[in-house]
Amino acid sequence: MRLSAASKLPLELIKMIISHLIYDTRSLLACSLTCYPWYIASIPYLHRTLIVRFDDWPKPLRNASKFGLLPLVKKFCIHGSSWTRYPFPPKRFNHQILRQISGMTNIRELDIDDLDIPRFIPKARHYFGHFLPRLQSLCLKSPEGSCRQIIFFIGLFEHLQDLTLLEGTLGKLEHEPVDDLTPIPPFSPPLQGRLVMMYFMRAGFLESMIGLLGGVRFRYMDLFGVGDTQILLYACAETLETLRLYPADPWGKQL
Amino acid sequence: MSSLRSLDLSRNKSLRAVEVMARAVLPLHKTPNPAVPTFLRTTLSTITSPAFFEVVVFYRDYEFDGVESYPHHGPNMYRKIKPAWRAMEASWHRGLFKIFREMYTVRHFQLVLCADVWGPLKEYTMRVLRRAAAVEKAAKRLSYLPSEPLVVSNPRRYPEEKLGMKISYCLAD
Repeated sequence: MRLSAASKLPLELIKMIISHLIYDTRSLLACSLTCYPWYIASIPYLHRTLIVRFDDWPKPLRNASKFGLLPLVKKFCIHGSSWTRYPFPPKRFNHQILRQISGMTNIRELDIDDLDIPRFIPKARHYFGHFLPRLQSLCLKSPEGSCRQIIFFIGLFEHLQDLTLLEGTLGKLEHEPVDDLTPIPPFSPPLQGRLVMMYFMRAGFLESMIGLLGGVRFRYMDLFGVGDTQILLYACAETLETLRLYPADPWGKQL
Repeated sequence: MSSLRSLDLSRNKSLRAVEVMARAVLPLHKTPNPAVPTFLRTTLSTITSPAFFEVVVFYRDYEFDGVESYPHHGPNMYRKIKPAWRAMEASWHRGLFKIFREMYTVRHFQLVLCADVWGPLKEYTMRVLRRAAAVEKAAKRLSYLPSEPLVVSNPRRYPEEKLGMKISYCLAD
């Protein structure tokens, strides 16, 4: 059988070509169908992100496990339903799913919607222990729980660099429980990367995060609809390198 | 919506760059008499960091004519563009560059134009930005800058799209 010109290229060159297409899934898919070397070069990018929606939980996870693709996954997203909002509880993780999750040995980014943190806290390490050694980026959208519980969850990941906290457009202005007995976070993650916060308006969250995690040292900040931005700017006075500015927010407060 | 109080960046001694949304610098349909928004002028004037050298103006998908992009959907960029829209876009870019010049009087910086768009739009949007910069250069209106504006792209999805919205809708135009 005669080899095509594309398959004769050295793998280094193929990797360079593929690296230009990492955000173009269709082209990546086409490349993966060209020949075996192109398939090998493109498959890590094709399966870099695994998204599982509440509605079809845990089908994509099961399929990825069946085909042995989980070690290629670097970003794991658990996304809520587009139409209804309900918390993501621990009962979604049964024994089999936990075993499949343990196959994700290279997870760097975790992105979870509506996580029911209070119900995860008693056995948080049991559910998220597989991600602890390597996780560098955490994104929580509309998490359930008090400020202290959310901070405890963040503090589980000892190598965490980037943090994204998003709230629904109306934001949450709940009163914190007076007798919150959540323990202090087990670790003080480095938090030296990017901080993205949108509409995260929980009263006292920033002060508690800075206090309980022993300070923050973000280098990049993108904050919109967040009260008391100045506290963060002062906390990162020695480290902040880039700040994304917005002129106004729906509450008319600072950034 | 009330306007923003400016930020105090005087304590941030390692601040290297400030990023600002193009539409926040100049709303799309406010091209006559463009001026630096007060929040930006005041915030820039508080910068004391010796490392500061960049203002990155980022442009989103929906700031380019011929591009449509919706939350949870991919971009659609093959719409026929009317000449009047093109002229309006060119006028907006002209207004922006006028404001950049004014911003430079407050704080010196290197100008970076960043196409913060979905991956497949990268080439098209960067071409538009390069063209806008070239027009300014040809008219010799960039002589105040130490070097030509840098045109870059940052292909990633924005967090607000995860919230099912576009931030520009919330900005006080």
